[in-house]
Amino acid sequence: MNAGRIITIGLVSIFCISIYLLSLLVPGSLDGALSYMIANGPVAAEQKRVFWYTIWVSAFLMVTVGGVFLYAIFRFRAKPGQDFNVPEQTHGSAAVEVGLIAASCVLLLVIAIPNAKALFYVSEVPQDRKEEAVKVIAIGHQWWWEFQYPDLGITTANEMHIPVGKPVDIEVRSVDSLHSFWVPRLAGKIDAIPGQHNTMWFQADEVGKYYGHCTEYCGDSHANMRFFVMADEQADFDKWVKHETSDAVAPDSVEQINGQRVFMQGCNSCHALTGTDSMGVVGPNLTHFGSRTSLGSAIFPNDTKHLVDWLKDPQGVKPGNKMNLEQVNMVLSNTDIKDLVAYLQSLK
Amino acid sequence: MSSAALAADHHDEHHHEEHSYTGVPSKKILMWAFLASDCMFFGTLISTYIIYNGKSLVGPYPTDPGILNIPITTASSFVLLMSSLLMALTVAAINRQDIFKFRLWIFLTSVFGLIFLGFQSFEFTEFYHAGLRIQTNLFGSTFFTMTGTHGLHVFLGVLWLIAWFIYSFFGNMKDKATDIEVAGLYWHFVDIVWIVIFTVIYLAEFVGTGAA
Amino acid sequence: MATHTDVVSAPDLLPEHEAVEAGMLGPRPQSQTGIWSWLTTIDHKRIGIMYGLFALFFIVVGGIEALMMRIQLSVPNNDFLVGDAFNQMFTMHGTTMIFLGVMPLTAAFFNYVVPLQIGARDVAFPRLNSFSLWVFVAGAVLINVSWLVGEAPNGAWVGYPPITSTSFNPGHNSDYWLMGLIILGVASVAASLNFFTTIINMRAPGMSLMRMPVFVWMTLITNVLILLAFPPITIALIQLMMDRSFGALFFDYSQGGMPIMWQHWFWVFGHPEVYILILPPMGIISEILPTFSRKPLFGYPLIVFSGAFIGFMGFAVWSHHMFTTGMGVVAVLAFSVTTSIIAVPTGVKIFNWVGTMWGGNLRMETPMLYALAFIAMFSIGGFSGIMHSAAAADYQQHDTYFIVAHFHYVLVGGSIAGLLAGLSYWFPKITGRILNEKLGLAAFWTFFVGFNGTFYPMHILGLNGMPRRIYTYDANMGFNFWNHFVTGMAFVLAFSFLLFFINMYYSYKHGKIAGDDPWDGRTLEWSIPSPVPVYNFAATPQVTHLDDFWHKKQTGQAMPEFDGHLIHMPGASYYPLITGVGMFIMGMGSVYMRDAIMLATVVTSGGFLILLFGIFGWALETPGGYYLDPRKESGGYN
Repeated sequence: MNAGRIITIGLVSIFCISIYLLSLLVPGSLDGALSYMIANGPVAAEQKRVFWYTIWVSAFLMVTVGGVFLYAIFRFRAKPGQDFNVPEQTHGSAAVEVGLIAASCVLLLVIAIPNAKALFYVSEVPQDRKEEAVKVIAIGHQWWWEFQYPDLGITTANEMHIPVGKPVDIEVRSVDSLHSFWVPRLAGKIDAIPGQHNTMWFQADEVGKYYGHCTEYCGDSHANMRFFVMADEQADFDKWVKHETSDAVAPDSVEQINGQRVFMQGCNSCHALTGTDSMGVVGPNLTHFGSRTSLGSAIFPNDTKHLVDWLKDPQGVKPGNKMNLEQVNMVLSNTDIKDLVAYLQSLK
Repeated sequence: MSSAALAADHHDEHHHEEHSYTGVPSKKILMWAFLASDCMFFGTLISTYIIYNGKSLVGPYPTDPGILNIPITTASSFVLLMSSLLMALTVAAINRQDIFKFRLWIFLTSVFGLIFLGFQSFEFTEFYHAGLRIQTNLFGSTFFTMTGTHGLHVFLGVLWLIAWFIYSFFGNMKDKATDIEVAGLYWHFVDIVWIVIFTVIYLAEFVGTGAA
Repeated sequence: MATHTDVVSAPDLLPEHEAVEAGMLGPRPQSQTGIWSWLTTIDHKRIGIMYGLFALFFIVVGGIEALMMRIQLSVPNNDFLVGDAFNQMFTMHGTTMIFLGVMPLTAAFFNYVVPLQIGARDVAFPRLNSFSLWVFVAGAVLINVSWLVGEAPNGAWVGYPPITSTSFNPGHNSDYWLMGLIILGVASVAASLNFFTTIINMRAPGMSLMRMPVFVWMTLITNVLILLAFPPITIALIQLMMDRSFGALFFDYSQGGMPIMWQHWFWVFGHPEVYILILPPMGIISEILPTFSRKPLFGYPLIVFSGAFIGFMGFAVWSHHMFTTGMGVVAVLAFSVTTSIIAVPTGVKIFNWVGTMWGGNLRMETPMLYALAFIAMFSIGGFSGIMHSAAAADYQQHDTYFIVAHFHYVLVGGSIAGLLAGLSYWFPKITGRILNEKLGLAAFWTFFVGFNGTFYPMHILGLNGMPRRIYTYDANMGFNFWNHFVTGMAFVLAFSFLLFFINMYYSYKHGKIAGDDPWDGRTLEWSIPSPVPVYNFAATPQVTHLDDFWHKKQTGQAMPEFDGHLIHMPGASYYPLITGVGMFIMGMGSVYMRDAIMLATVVTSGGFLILLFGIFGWALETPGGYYLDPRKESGGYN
């Protein structure tokens, strides 16, 4: 019995240790696109630093308390046949208690001080850098993000462009349910709450495409509410700004012209195309749709196959979304879809 | 332990009372605990009212003339406070086992409670005709929910008192002093809550407009 | 309202009382066996057993819901449960586990164990106790009826508006959730009033507060928390119900309402709720560790006061669930500090538990193994709790699987492990038979492996950025391996519960006869026969020490003998069940208030009248009951 028990304990310990080790070995376990173990900007770096403080304190506690606990289990377990021996009856020790309470308070201070400093740092763009900050308003919709650049006159969706090395001052709002704006490699999250204007900031230190995800449960397609932040060199960013502020390009082939006609017969009531009569505000602004890399709030790459799938059955690929063709009695034939795809892809 | 001995003594003195460790009847402890819980209940309602005060986007607002009728509500508050006095007389009467007085006072307490409810329904109707409904604005939502919940408390209290009034004609009131006292605790609590609500809704508005 | 058991000399009262046994429904229920005896019982032990069985049933239901979610998440872009179906599943999983699983299971222990530990014949208000049970059942059934009409709640267990308001949730999903929770709140508050009064007033002579077993202390604190924490959530539920059913504007942002206020009310309740779930298991652990270490609890006063302090601080930390809602950096910092302060009393408890083991003679039997697992896994949950209390880091962790891992370590590794410890510990007292040790060990180790295998990798998924409450994820996110692994281990965890239930059934039928005191226990419940006779104590115990029974055994004193007075047992009652039915009908009516206001009002009023009938019948019922001679009784219900 006793040998069996020791074997069981051994097996279980090996099992637990192997989980811990596996977590380090399985590729992608801690360096996925949403991992906040990798910081690519000062805000995320500061948050990661605090995280590591808490890890060290916890690890210290785990080793000391856990060590004493395991020692007590093995040292004081009843020997066979002596199960009912009565050990010395002790009731407690004031000195030990006070010492341990004091020690835990000190450990908490170790976390509290860097935490307080970090909190103030991450809450606002530092005073001396306010001038150079790029201002963006991120508006949560069910289930996509609208990005407005009030100083630049740009409205776009699901792909936010920022210049590298510059602070980005973000105001987060919502027009319907709660959402939360989160780009883990750049900064922690802030909730989008209707009627409330929350703020946060971040800065990307490297050029790249950073993954974001809504992190406040917001209904059917919460899982499909993703987005990208593209950090560009300043020159590329300026180019992008110039391009974004231009009007939608005019169709220049038969297919595209037909596509535009289809678009204006329904799509326009929800989607806007700057420079045309199409001014809907329910869905994303599609003026430069063709130059975006993703589709359906970053759930698919923006290619012909996925665009056709989307137009054929938007509810099937993204349940519950507002583009419900049956509801508005919109019937798209295969030709319509082909033309629409051609037109949308031309909107560079 | 001396407290245990005391409790035992107490137990012997009141041999009709149930056994209890503290010497306080269990029903009373239950009621006090319930009132503590109810404090949080009304605390939440009153806080909601205060938080939403002045946040309504459309009228009628509490500051509009002719919405909050302070003289009428002062009268109804006075009635409710007097019912507390009557309730105290009820409890005193049952402690003396003076059944006639008990019936008189408990009946009057319930009647005063009903008068208060009458005032309240009058006020609700006035508001309704002035265009203030639960769907109108935040003032309407918070006002009706808070005073309505209080009114429900008064209503249940009246039911409780009337039940005792009727029971006193059929049942034995000999060992019922604790039960009446517990009902009295509830009744006093509901009155005290009204004083807070009255202050928050009416007096605060009165002081506010006076200062302006 | 109070029916009290009292020792009287039979010749005085017997004939008179038998003559007046009639209420509004005629004579009181007389059956001692069969279904009616259970439906009308007011015996705290039977009520406790029913609470326990309902709770275990709902833990199975919640577990199946969890497995369905795990199947959906086992591979990327799965289509087993998509969108709303998945959302209903996780909403009901959370709601079921918290309100219909763990809370009633703790209530089962309050019911069964507390009166025995304080040396009482029953709770202070036995019929109120039965009322709490049936109202709980009414609420539980109401919430689950939603599955039958295909509109299960889907607003997450926190139910944040606006997602739960009519504009985003036009069905009855949230109405079922709201009415169910309001009814469950009534049940919880009624039960708490009862236990609070019982513990204050029904203790055996000599059992001062500081001689109460720790489990009784934790029950007292938990019930104070329930009394103070449930009203805010009840008001919030009523406000949202007013919004949905009557067009009020509490959470309508277009009219100036603030959805954020719901979050505040919810967490003013929600955080104490966490302690409502964990303090009773902590009490259970504090009973098991001394018994199986054969030493008194190390630092008893500190364990008690730290419990009270945790309860008190529980009301000062709610906003740590809302760090990312834009409260402002000062508020975030304040709640960050108060939250980390809670680590101190929690640490005190863990130190004292280890201190209890230190120098002891530890018997490694199943209850003790669950208790030790509780300490280990709850500590891990506590460490990740410290990590969340650092708000700057929590901005990243909030609403990721790191949080999911954290609270499952606290609630499954903590609460449920503690409750399984309690089940193994008190099973012999309840049934008279000991749980089979071999099956028990198998169940325990499967639980331990399954639990850690399921929830430890969720930390990794969280750090890797997997948001919670998502029904699907992309294949290139690095989530694939661990989700697959977790799903597999979830089935191992489920299997461990199956083993535990098989063991319960098998041991109930064929287990070893336990005897009065199988563990060499310390508290009063071990001084009476197993299963416990209907009258509990033949003679009221006189308490002189902490761990009084252990003290008496060590010093060779005997428990008091039966003194020849017959024991008055209160009669059973139909009325609590009737009030429960009334509550259910009221709830059903209110759910459909929006669609057919006339019909719904009629149904709701009908329910209210049944409720009123029940309450008046209950009030007018004579004490009734019968007299019993413990020398002629054979024991419990077997």
